[in-house]
Amino acid sequence: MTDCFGKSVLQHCQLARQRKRPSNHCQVPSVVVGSAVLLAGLGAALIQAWQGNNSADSSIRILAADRETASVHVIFAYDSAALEAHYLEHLVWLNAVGAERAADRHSNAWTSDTAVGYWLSGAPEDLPDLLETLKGVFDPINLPSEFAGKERDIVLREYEFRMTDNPDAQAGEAMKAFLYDGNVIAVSPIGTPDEIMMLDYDAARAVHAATHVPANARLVVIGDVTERRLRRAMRDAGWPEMEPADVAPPPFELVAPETTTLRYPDPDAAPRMGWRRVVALPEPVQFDLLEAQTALLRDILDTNLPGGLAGPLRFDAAVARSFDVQVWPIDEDNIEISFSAAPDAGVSLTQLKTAFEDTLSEVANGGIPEATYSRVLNRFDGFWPDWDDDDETSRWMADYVLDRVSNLRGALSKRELQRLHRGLSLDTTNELLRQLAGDGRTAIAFIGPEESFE
Amino acid sequence: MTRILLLFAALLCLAACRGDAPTASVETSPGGVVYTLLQMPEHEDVTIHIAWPTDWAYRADTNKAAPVVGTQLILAGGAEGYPAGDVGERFADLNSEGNIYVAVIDHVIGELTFERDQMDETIAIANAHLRAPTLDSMWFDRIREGTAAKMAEAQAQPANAGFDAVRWAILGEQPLRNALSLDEPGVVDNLTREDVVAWHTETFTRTPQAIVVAGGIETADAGAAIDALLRGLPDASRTVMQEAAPDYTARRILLHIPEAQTTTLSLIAPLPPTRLGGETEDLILIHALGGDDQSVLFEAVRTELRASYGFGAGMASYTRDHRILFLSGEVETAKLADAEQVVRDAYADFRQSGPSGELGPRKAPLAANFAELPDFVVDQARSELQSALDGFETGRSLRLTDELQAVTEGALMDRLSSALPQAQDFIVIAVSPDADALPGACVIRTPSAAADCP
Repeated sequence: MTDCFGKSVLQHCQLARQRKRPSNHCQVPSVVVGSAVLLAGLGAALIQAWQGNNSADSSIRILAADRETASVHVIFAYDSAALEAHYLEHLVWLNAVGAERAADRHSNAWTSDTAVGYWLSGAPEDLPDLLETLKGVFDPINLPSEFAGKERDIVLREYEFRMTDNPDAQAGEAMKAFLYDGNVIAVSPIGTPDEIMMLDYDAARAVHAATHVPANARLVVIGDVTERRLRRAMRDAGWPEMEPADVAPPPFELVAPETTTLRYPDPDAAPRMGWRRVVALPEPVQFDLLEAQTALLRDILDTNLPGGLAGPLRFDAAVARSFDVQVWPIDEDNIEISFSAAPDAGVSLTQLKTAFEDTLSEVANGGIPEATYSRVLNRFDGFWPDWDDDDETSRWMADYVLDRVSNLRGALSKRELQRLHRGLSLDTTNELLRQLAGDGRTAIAFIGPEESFE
Repeated sequence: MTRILLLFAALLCLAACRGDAPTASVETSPGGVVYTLLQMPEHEDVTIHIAWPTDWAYRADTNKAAPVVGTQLILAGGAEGYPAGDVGERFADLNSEGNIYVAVIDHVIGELTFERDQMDETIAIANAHLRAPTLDSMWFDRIREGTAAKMAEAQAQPANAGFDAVRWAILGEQPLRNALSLDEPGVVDNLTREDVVAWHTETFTRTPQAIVVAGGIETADAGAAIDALLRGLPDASRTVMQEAAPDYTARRILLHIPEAQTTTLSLIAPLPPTRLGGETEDLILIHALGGDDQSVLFEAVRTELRASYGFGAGMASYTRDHRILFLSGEVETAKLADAEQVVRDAYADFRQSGPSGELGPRKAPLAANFAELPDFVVDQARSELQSALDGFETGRSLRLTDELQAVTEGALMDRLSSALPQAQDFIVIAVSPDADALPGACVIRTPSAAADCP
């Protein structure tokens, strides 16, 4: 809930993109699932680099995705050290794709807590070429040792770019390490400067040999291409045989409920608080349904309606000048809530924390009123696409599938997704809220001048 | 017979597609307000974009924080008949969106987007907020205090301090500098509610500079909507005078911040305003220069010199008439001097030789995006509004594909030599913990000292 007319700034931007016409049945992009597989990804990766030149006064607007481009994504799970995987990702991309290529061939790579991914895009008719180039991620890394060694410096520059003078990022890493303690996802791929300078080229090559193999790969192709055409292109490109990979995210087990408060004193920083809690659910819930249930709960908490946080914290009392709340599933058994806020004048971060925790408790104990639930549910249509709009559905499914594959999950079919809304109810929403207000592992971060903490 | 029927169906589809194509026209509302109408019959959404001219930033007797705080206050602080906090929920129910922002200092832009069936209530709410915002004192204080805290933090960031220094070098003591940087001591703290009232009164008139209505709406409805939205607003009370005198004389400056943890390097030089044309050429050229990992600057600074995680180029505007090209990135401190020379050499070579490779692939991403622009009413309207402010012919935003097709390699080379600065024309600003990292530079300790650098 921030200063905007009706919706948060983020929501506004997202919805602006959705203000589009119905399908004209002229040209519809489709998601094509590669042989071994299939499916899912990192939506942000689809944003074209052109966006960098979209100044506010430009009369030429660039959209985030287009129909006349095909993109090929290869994703590998890894179970080695996250920072090593990150260094490896840099080297593999340089080895396979980094060489000079046509101007319409865009590419990048990424490392998450559990997987690395590489993508290359271009004209749909160039699909065999795209596959042939990206196939290089399987090849042994053959970069000169000195060049590979200096790539460590680039990883260090990346660390500085993301972490230096950025207390929110520093707090985020520390909170994650505490909340997910004992689990694979507690370890960040960004590392520390000392760890980065210890990275070893030979060790990276060994990790590559163990992880970047067809049996561990998943392929996603997005574009206006048929599956038949894709299979022919894979054959022409010499793409390796891939069996359906039995890949799943690493298991997550919440360690003992505990609370930590992290402090980032900075005399120049605007005071703000981050508050995150992970709780275990009594019974597992199918992941996609749980994602929808938590998103609906988040939307309710964001409102100025009875049962929302905005009334008690922002409109009826001057406690939080602005805030953001998010709720999401970690897996089928665990969910997380994040609340970040800037305090009003005269409100310390400790008082803000107490007010938030008290409000969350009160709302959970009282339950979300039926009227609020129904009202917010009526606005929830935008969580899924308009299933009658083929174009919108295809775009949504492309993002969805790529997201799921990138997170090592399976993807539901359109029909299964269309039925998920039946699993939303006031009872389940209130139950999730009670869980979040109960016992869990909690990390709190105070950022700002030290005198704003107490 | 079947073939004939299919052919008939195809012809019908083509006819329908043509009939649904967006059209542009200049219209006058029943109340005498001139506006551009983009009729996009396939959309159920309608969006209205209005640009009010302002010279608040250019005058010595205004508080430059008023527009920043005022735009937020109008949106969040309530209006006649609409208490703060209520309208946000109502807008969410209606699936309507509204926003007000300052665009390139010269205009305040209002955007209102809604489903056609929700037009009357949406416009009534928006009119109340434009005509009679509460500008509530409590909300004024909380937004002003939040803005002051955020500005203090931003100004303490070394990279931001560098851009503040550049504005001191280019604009010196002109009021425009303070409007862009908000760095005059106490500028936010000294802002009064009366300042915001004065800004609101002189800005929101029934005589904007440009209005665009886009979406599935008939002319009569669009005209009525404009009149209802502007109802009760005053006529303009003064003539807007937007005059500034920037000094782009090339200089080399190093802002020494001993506690900075990284070094940043930026080169800045003027570009012609977009109203003179050439914007499409600029997009292609600047992307080739520094838009992605294949760009000239990325190749020179990251891949070859190994000095940066990413070094790129972009365009920005101090005002509509004063646009700049910037080349910028974080670099390894020990390689700062080398990086400056490498950037200059790479730029000089690019300006001499132009982008490498064929033009077609360089146009392809833009062509794909332009082709999809009519799918998005908000983006289409934004593009048209900016074109209108530049004085281009009505409907230019619908013809961007034609504009792109007309760009030739010769036109790019002409643009390079006639519009882009020469390598020696850049102002260089480095921010570094090492005062000696850029030999021969004018070393300063505060951004304001840049005004005295020769």
